[in-house]
This record gives sequence, C-alpha cells and structure tokens, in this order.
Amino acid sequence: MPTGGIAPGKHHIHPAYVIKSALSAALLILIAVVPSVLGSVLPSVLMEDAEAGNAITYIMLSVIALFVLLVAFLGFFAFLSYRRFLWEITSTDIHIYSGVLFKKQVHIPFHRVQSIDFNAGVIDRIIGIVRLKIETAGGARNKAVLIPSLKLNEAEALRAEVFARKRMAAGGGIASAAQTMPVAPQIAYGRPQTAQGAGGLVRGVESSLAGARGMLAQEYYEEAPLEYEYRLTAKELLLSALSSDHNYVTFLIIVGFLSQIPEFLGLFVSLDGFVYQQAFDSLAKQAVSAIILEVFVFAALLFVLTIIGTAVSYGGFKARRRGGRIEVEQGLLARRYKSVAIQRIQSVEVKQGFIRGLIGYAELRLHTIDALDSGNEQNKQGMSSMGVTIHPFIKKTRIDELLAGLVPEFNERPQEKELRKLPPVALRRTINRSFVFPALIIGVPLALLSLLVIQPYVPADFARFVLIGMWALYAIVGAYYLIGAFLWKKHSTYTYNQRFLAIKQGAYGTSLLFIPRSKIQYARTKQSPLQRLAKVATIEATTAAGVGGTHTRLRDLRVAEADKYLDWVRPSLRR
Amino acid sequence: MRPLPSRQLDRRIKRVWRLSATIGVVLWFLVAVVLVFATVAIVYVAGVFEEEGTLVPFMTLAALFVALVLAFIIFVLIVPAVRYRQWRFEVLDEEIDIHKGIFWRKRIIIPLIRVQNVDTRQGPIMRAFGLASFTVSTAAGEHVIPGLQMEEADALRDHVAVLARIAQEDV
Repeated sequence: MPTGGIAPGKHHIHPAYVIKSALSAALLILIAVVPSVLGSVLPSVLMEDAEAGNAITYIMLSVIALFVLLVAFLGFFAFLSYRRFLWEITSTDIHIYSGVLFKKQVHIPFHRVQSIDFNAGVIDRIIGIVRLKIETAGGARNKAVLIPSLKLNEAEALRAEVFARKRMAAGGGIASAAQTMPVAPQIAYGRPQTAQGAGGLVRGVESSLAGARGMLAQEYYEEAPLEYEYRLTAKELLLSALSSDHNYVTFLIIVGFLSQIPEFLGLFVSLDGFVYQQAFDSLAKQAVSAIILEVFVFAALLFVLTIIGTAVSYGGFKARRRGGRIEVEQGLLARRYKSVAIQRIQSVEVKQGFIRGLIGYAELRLHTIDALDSGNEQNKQGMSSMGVTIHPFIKKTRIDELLAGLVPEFNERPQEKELRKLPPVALRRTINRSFVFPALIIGVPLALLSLLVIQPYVPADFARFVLIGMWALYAIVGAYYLIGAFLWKKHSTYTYNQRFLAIKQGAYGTSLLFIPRSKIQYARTKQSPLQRLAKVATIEATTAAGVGGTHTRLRDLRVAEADKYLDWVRPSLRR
Repeated sequence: MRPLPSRQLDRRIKRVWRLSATIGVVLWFLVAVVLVFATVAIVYVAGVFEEEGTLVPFMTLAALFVALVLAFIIFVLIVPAVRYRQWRFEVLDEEIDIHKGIFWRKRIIIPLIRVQNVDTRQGPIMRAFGLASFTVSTAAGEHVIPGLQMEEADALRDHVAVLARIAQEDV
C-alpha cells in the first residue's frame, strides 16, 4: 500500500478526541460555575466567620467532587461516542456510524461530495489532528458531515481517496484504493514549491509550519498537479492588518469617547458649586488627564492587539489551484484548510474598505454554495454568503494576474472601465433615501425634545452642553450619510458582457461583484411606486451562493436598461 | 418597455384569495374582540369605570367594527383584484417569465435549465375551486404560480419537468 492509502474496513477516529472533549467540557463548566460559586462564598470568607468557614469548606469540597464527577461522566460519554464513531470507505460511499443513545448512520456517495475541509485549533495542531468537514451537493437544505478528530495525514489521504474515486466514478471506472493512490509524488503537500512573491519572514514561518505537523507527523503526497499557488508576503500581511477599516473604527470610537471626558467632568465640577471649584479645579484636571492617558494607552493596546489578531488569522496564508479545486490555507496558530470545487463558485468579489481603497488595495473573495454544519442548522439558514477570501490584501493592478492564475474561468469578465453609470435621478433618490428621510425622522423628534423638554426643564449650563453635543452629533452623522450618498452614486455602476454580470456598489467601501450568467438562478426587476414615478427600477440577480441563495441588487437603473438586463438573462434571446 | 407576459391566472383564483382573506380578517377581528372583552372584564372587576361613563368599551367595539369594514374593503375587495390584474406569466421554451406585485412590481425571469424541481400543490380551498398551484424550485429558492386549472398545472409541470431534466443538479 502506497503512503497514505486507506485500509479497507471501519476506522476509529483519533482517541485524542476523548481527552479533548472532556477538557473543553471541563473548561466550559469552570467558566460557567466559578464566578457564581466565588460570588456566594467570598463574602463570608471576607468576614472571617469561623462557623461559616467550616460550611464553606464542605460546600467547596462537594462542588469540587460534583465537578470531578461531571467531568468524569462527560469524559465517559466522550469515550462512548469515540467507541461508536466509525468511518469507512466502501466502493461507492463514505459510511459514518455515530451516536451513543441515538445511533446514526450516514452514507455519502462519492459523487455527492463537494468539498472536504480541515480545521485545527491550537491544541489540535500540537497533537497533530484535524476536524474534517465533508460538504455535499444539494440546494438549501444540505448539511455538512463532521469527523471530529483525524490525524492530518489520514485526513489528507481520505480527501485524496474520495476525490480520486469521485473522478473514477465520473469516468465510469471502478475505483480501488491501491489503484487510485498516487504513485509518483510530484509536489509535497504543505511544502513551498512555487514561492510567488514569498517574503523572507513569511516563507520562514511557512516552512517551519510545514515541518510542524504535530507529534503524529507523517509525510503525505498529493497527486493532482499544482496549477497555481499564491502566498501572502510579510509586507502584505502587515499592511492588510494595518488597513483593516474596523480596526480603526474601534480605535476612533474609543478615542472619540475619551475626548468627551474632560468636558463632562469639568461640567460636573462646575455644577457642584462655586465653593469647591477652586480647590477641585487643579485636582480634577490632573485626574482627568491621567484617566485620558490611561484609556488612550488602553485603546492603543487594543489597536495593536487587533492588528496582531488579523496577522495571526491570516498568517501563512496560501491559496492554490489544483485539479479543478481552489484550496485556501490560513492561520498561524489555529490552522484552517478550505477547498472549493471550481463549479461551486458562484461569483468573485473585489472588496475595498475605505482605507484600502485610498491606497489602491483590495480583498478578493469567492462566493460559493455553503453547507450547514450538522448541529447548528438554524442560525445559518438564509444567511447570505460571506465567501472565501482568496487574497486579503492585493494591489489593484495585480488582481487580473491573480484571478487569471486561480480562476481563469473568470478571464472574460468585463473590465472596470466598462462599468456604466446610473442616471442622474439615482443621485436624487439616494440622497432622499439615505439622508433626507432619515434626517427628518430623527431630526423632528430631536427638535421637539430640545424645544419642549431640554430648554425649559434642564439647567441652562447643562442644557447648553447637551444641546450642542446632540446637534453636533446629528450634523456629523448627517454629513457622513450625505457624503455617503454622493459616493454611492459615484461608485454604483454595472455592466454585462457575453458571459458575466458586473455590479459595483458601496459608499465609503465598495464591492465589485462578477457573476457568471450561467450561475444566475433567476433574475428580477423591481419597482416601488416612487421608482415608477422616477421611471427607474431595481435589478437583481440571485445565485445559489451561501445557504439558500444570495441576492445581489442594484437600485435605480432606467426602466429600459433594467428591461435590457432581463433580456440578457433570458436564454431564448441569447442567440 | 417590454410587453407583459401574455397569460393571466384562472379567474377563480380571485375567489380563493377573497375567501382566504375573509377568513383571515374575521379571525383577526375575533381575536381583537376577545381581547377587548377580556380587558373590559378585568377593568370592571378592578372597578375603574364606576364613577365615569361606560362608553369606552362600546367606543372600542365601534372602532373595531370600522376597522373590520376597512380591512374587508382593502384585503377582500381591493387587494385580490389588483393582485389578479397585475399577475401575468408565460412559460416560454427556455424560461419562465412572471410579472406580479401590488405596490412593488416585480418581473422575474427563471431560466428553465436552472429549475431543479417542479411540482403542483393543492390546498383545501384550492381543491374546492378545482385549482392548483405550480411551483418551480431552483438552487436558490422557489417560485409559485398560484391559480391554474388542475389539468393545466399538471400539463405545465410535465412540460417543464422535461426541460428541467437537463439542469445541472450539482450546482
């Protein structure tokens, strides 16, 4: 049997599963129980009551005993589910047997398998195991199947085997493990081969990661030839963390909040009466500046932490194309491996945050059909697709090159300069929609509040402070949305050619989406009564991306243009 | 502007809509009446109205009746008529074309090669009128053409099923 082949018969998952689930259960219980126990016990401890002290000892002992018992029970349960969990590869399906009280058998025919992804937390990586997720084809209601712990090389072998058999099944042959397993190793999995633009630091991290395959390390060779690979350079990683909009927003909110503190404190000091004011003044000022300094340092720290967080989650980022699939790996500590079959890709998105837009960089995403994780069906239902990031930070001029390597299927997409603008009436409507109406809805009650409540009833000093603050905030938010409306009009554009629809929109950040016509499940135009007056319509394209489909819409095209778009979707008018 | 799809729904669907709207309106009205009576009973037990006039519950009931009449006019008389007038559809060789909507007018194109499932359905009211609805499902949701003669819905289903068979299932 060649390296990594899967022996026939049923297999257990890796026994580390038992310890892992017991540990995580124990941790959960600890987090839930400790604060409440401490809360009830601490007061008496602090009072040094001897009698109570005895009682507390008993309580603590019984709590600890209960805890140990509970963890032991959960550990035993985990052991049972470990014993019951078996997987097997037969000539036609993957079989998974599981369940302690309710037994469950899942059979997945190879041709239904769409993707097999790995996930590994920090502990998993130390041990060298992964969680494996099998996604199957189907519409809105399909679930993913999980195998909770497998050795990395076993998981890789399983994946290769399943895809080999899937291919065989498609070709009509009968697969056997020994025949389909790779004979000539071409590319070592996880080793840097084509180092496109790999920087020194990240490459170093990469190789050491590839070496650190955990205690159960074994080499495994992937068969399908590598067609294209991309790695994130250290510079890109750092810049991508530095240019993430929401890092700055957090920072700005904290700093903005702080800048209000001196006025606020100063106000209360002055309200407290004139007698103390002299004495308080200098003291208060010192206290205030100390607080500001502290919180500022705290905010800066938080900022640095979020940047490190981004860096850690995108560290060792790799995207490659191999055998009709796109594979993305990422994460310095917890490692994620995600793969997508090309035909499952519904659209490609070029996403620009505000800061990234300014410096000419963007994020690239693929939107694919997602499956639900078994267990948490409800929360993802109807959620639109978040997509798979295939590059978190790419210079706009290099997008063509990367997409040509990774998804040449999208080569015929329209160019950005071909994008068409919306009619002028769209600007008026977006100003009304996102500025005038909300400004009135919020402004009128605010005006009533200031005239009828604050002016007459609140002390003048305080009232002035509140009014200025309130209306300043109102003006700032209003200006933000007004500028946003102009930006939205500027950015909102669309076009389509023989094979692709392109829709770009957004105010401060933009999103440019390329949707192949063959992936549009249905198309819609929509007109509200106001739009009928303005002779414009909304266009919409629905793909199967996400769970249960994703709508992409663009508001306020001229009616004739919207009709033309629908005609473009009609298969009967294609020739 | 492109002409609307040629076909209209069966006229009887208006009666189906009216009937189900009537049931809905009456149910809501009954719930409201029960709530009013319960409130009045509680208030009387608490003895709030003793010194004042007892017109309030009657006023409330009168208001409810006005609301009932209004709801009846809007949801039973007007809405089904407008909806019927706006509802158009056409099953072409390669796509289904739908136009509908009361305030928000929608035009929908569903290419038949994206259709994964077709079926006809019949609720109890629809059955009483000899009607059926025709549903096409794609990988991203389904579309219903509500009021068709039973035989016609079945014929449509078989026709579309043949065309949909070439659809890729593994999206």
